[in-house]
Amino acid sequence: MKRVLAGALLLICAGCDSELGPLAGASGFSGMIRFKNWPSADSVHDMRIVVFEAYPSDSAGILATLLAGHGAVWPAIGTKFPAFVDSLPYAFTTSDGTNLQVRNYDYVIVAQQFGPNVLADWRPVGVYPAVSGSFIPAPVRVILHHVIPGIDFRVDFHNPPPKPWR
Amino acid sequence: MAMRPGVILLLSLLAFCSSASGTGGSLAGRVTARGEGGALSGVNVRLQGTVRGTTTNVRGEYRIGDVPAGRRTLVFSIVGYLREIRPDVSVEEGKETVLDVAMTQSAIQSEQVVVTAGKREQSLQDVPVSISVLDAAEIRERNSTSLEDALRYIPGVNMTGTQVNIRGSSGYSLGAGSRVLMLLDGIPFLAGDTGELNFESIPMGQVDRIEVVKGASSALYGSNALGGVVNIITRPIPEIPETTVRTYGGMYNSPAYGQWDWSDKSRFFNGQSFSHMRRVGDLGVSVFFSRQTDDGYRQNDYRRRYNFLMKTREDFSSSGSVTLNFGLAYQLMGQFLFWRNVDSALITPLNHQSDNIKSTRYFLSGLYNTPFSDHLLFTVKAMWYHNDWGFQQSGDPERTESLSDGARVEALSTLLLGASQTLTCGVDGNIDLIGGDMFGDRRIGGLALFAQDELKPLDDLTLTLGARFDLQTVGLTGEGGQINPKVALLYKPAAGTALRASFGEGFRVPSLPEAFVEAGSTGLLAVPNKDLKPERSKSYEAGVSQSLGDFGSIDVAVFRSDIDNLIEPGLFVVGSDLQIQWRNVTRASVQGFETSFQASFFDDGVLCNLGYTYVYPRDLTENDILKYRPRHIFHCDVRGKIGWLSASADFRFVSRIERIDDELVDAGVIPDGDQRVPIYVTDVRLGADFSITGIPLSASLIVNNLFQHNYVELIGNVMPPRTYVLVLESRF
Repeated sequence: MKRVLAGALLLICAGCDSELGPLAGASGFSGMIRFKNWPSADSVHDMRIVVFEAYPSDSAGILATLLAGHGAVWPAIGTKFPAFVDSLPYAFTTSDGTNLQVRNYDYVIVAQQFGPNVLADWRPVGVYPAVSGSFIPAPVRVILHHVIPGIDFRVDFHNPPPKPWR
Repeated sequence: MAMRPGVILLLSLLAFCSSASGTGGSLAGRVTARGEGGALSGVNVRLQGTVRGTTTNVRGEYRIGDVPAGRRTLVFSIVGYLREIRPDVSVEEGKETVLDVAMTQSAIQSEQVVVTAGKREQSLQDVPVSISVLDAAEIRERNSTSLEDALRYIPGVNMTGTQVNIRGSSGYSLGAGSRVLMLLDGIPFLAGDTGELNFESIPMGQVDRIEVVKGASSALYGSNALGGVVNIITRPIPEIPETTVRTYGGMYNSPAYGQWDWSDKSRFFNGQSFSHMRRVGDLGVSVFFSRQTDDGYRQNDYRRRYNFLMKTREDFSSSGSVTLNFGLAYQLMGQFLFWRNVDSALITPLNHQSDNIKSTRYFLSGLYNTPFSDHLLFTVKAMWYHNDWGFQQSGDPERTESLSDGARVEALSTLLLGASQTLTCGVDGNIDLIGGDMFGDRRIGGLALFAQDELKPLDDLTLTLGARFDLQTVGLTGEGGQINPKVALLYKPAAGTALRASFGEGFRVPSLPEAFVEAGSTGLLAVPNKDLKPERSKSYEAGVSQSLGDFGSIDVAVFRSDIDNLIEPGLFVVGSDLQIQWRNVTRASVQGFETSFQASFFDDGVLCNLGYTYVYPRDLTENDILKYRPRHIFHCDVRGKIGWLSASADFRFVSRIERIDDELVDAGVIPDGDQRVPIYVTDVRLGADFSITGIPLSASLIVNNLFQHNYVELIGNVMPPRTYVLVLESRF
């Protein structure tokens, strides 16, 4: 009987070494986006989480900034963002086809494309805040092989944060 | 004019049956536990050599009326106690013979009475096939709130999502069809449209026991019983009114990794149930209601479920009875199909945030049995089963619906030809009408004849011969009849030793989804295949069970199944699309061995069960391991009781699945779907039974997955983390 119990304990201990878990190597951040007061469907052409290394001041330079690798979007281009949901958990990492880099991002927002012009018709609707409830943006540092949890957004379409660009 | 031999046999049988009938005396008494002297309810009391019998009520009392005068033998059996045989009991015309019996407690499960192996009541040690039984006490103790939770603790059984796999018979068929037949009180209980097992329809609080027959059982049960049979027996109605109120509540532990922690709220689940049973004269009624709600530990994995069951039973003075069941189940659940990827294992892929399934299912079943004599029992079972379920994808205002109405009827006769032969034969039929968007309007049905003869050429040798002819149609090309024979031997060379060997053939008609499903969108399409042929199998088994006296028992079995025309879903790249189609792709062989061991210590104060199954599932066409089959399944449970306190623990090990559909991973359908590990799960429980102090209350604290092992049973689906559950039950 002692041998049987020892065998069972061995099996239990062996289980500790064969865990399923996140793949080592991914870097990024994750959290939850909570939505409030969705507008009508004709003004929600697209949605994205967008990160910028520097605070953008000119809308004309946003695309160039992203193409130059100084910013990144989630989900990756070609993937539809689920609209009209109450909440959306997400994980924005270097391993899911985005151009996220291991570096510091000063401005992290949820952006809405409200019109047909994919280059110009964007506005921020949620920001990762320095203080909960405020619109003061907080930076997010992407650390190598680490996915930071708890980067949450509150999106109220009736009360969006100020637009930093012209 | 010469009479045909068949007519002569029929007349002889009728003469034999009628000569045995007639009114006489009665037998009655009380059954208690030896030593402590408490009444034993639910004891099976059988009149040996006849089809007559009854069970004891909550006061341990039994009564069998209309017993012909003479010397009779009574057999008393119940799980957890040694069988008691009382020969030479005198029954006199017009008088009641009183016989009280005290039974001795035992850890040996072989005293259990089962009904699935031969479609009649038999002692577990008298069946020539491997069969496991999970009783209501274990189901309650583990707080198994759905059938799949309960089945995970049966030796040789593992789950792939909601698909049951008995000894490597099944892999993962994307929810289409089943190689295991589920019965509810002996009546087939598969959904008419998908052919799968509907776990949510089973009111777990009213389950008396679950019997699992391992190996091909088509010779008695027809299609789908290729890998085995799961028979759910509902609770009998006791003589004394009984009310049970049960509630449980629990929460999921936080995920093991911060990266997986998707919700800032704790995730809870709870459930309540109520049942009342009583008898008024010869009529028994039971009513059961339960509700369950579960936030889910994953995103969009919530569940709300309601079950209702009403059962009535009318007993006739002739020992016959009519039982009616009406069951209703409603469920709304989020659909977590698979993870976004292993880094985000608890959240759904984008655009599947609010997929959901809503189902309403109800059934009405009836069972009529009447002994034409002491030697002939006639039984008719019938069921109507309605399924209405629909799937709604995120952002889609329309729900894709499927409707099915199925009717099943079986007429069965059990004839005892002397003390050494039992003949069971019957006919059954089924028809399913399917409608809705998913499969269109279809009609499927079948008719079958079956017979099984159990002979005892020697006192210690039983030979079972059986065969079944099935005509099943689902609208495929080349459909035809199927004959499935069976032969089995049981040899008891010494008291407590039983050797068994069996051979049986099995088959499974393709299910509707496998043959006709046509769904999907650009990129991933399921396409029909009207040329599918039924799967066929040949199963062999040999085993030995040995009682170890008061210490316990051991059982060892070797088995092998050869399967032809195995139906598997295949993924094929056609142009820019990935197509899924079910095809008769392979010949397969599944062989292995299984051993189970039961032991008791400290005068049954501590009970231990061990079960280990080794399976070698081989794809003979591709010369590779069959997909989704583990090679090793191990289960161990230990239970102890001191006075009003009890403690128990379960440990399960399932080896890593060696082969899956790599195409699903390579094509990006299930990102990181190749991430899988062996399963090591430990559950512990502490219980307190206050009924000893006169308070009708029991409480238990359960911690499941104590060591928070992260694993998948089905690719892309992480199983629950550690959970904490508090259960309170009052029975009065």
